[in-house]
Amino acid sequence: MVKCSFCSNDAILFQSYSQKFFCGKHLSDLTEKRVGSNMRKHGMIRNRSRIGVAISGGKDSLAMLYIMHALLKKDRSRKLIAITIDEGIRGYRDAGIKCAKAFCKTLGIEHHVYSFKDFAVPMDTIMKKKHGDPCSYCGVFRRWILNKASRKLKLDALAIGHNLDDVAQTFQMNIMRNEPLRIARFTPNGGLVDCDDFVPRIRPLFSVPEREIVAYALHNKIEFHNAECPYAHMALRNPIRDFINSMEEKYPGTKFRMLNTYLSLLEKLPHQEGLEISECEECGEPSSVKTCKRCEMLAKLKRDTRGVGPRKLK
Amino acid sequence: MGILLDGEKLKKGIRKKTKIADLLASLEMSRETVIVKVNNRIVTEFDSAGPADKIDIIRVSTGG
Repeated sequence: MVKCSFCSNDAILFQSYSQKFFCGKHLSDLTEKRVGSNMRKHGMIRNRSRIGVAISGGKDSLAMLYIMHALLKKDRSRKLIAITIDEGIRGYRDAGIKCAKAFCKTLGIEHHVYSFKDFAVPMDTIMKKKHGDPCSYCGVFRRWILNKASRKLKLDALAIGHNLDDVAQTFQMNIMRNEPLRIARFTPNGGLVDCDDFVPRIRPLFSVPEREIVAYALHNKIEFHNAECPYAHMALRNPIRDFINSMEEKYPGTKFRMLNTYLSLLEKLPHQEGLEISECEECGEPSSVKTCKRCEMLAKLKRDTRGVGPRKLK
Repeated sequence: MGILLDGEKLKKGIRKKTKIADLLASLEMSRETVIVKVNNRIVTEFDSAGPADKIDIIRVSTGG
């Protein structure tokens, strides 16, 4: 067995970008240090006491919850509250929710589940009618519900499990779509708009490579749900992910260089000036246009399917 | 003992001691996209496995 570069233990991971081998303990130390440093450096929990953690039951979100719980458990001024969204994908999300529930129970963390069927339309219903790109619907509905739930739970911030790979992919996709505002919005702490009705999103894992999170979760015996979303094969993200991974393999450090470019660009991109936030005419949620994207999509689905809709409109 | 990909047994096996990096290359898998366990222990791509070993390949990114 290959040995760790820092001790005599067997290595579980080779970091090609640093040319170092890591045993489970040293990989765990590094990952936890990175997350703690991200949270401190970007002021993710500064002056915030109720911190939400969005968990799907997958490796990223459960590892994030595990690390945040370890970092904050002695801090009595802060409370972690987990939120899971049930998108209504039979045979996929059920297993994730089961893992999320069990994990929160083990850590003693309050956990809430919100469903598409109550606030939007279940993904299985949408896809029965083949309504184009499923990830667009899923992303818009999920973000809308997460924000509404975060306000209801009086959260000061909501942690999202986006890792280094997600950041690199999102950055690349937004360049290809010519979406500078979306790049500006995808920040480690908060977003483009400073509005009381938007609960700020924080991304404590934004500099942790996806592969290292899986190794971390396996080493720390975190029981996560590892299956492919049945609709994920239709996403633009897949070829982008393959491209970036092939670049990383040929030119180690590519993902970190993309992250550094993105962080440098963030400072230069247009900020919130000129972007007015009011209430969506349909649902009353914050929106920069008359009708928010969620309500626009719901109206389209209702037209196309003759009446499908959420149980709770507001 | 065979190779499992996310718990599903693959048709392909190995006949002699093989470096994990070579095994992944033969399966056309990028090391960036998987973590490998040999006999329930996580290993690096520089380690090896033999025909009697249980090899678990875990895909890092499942999408969704």
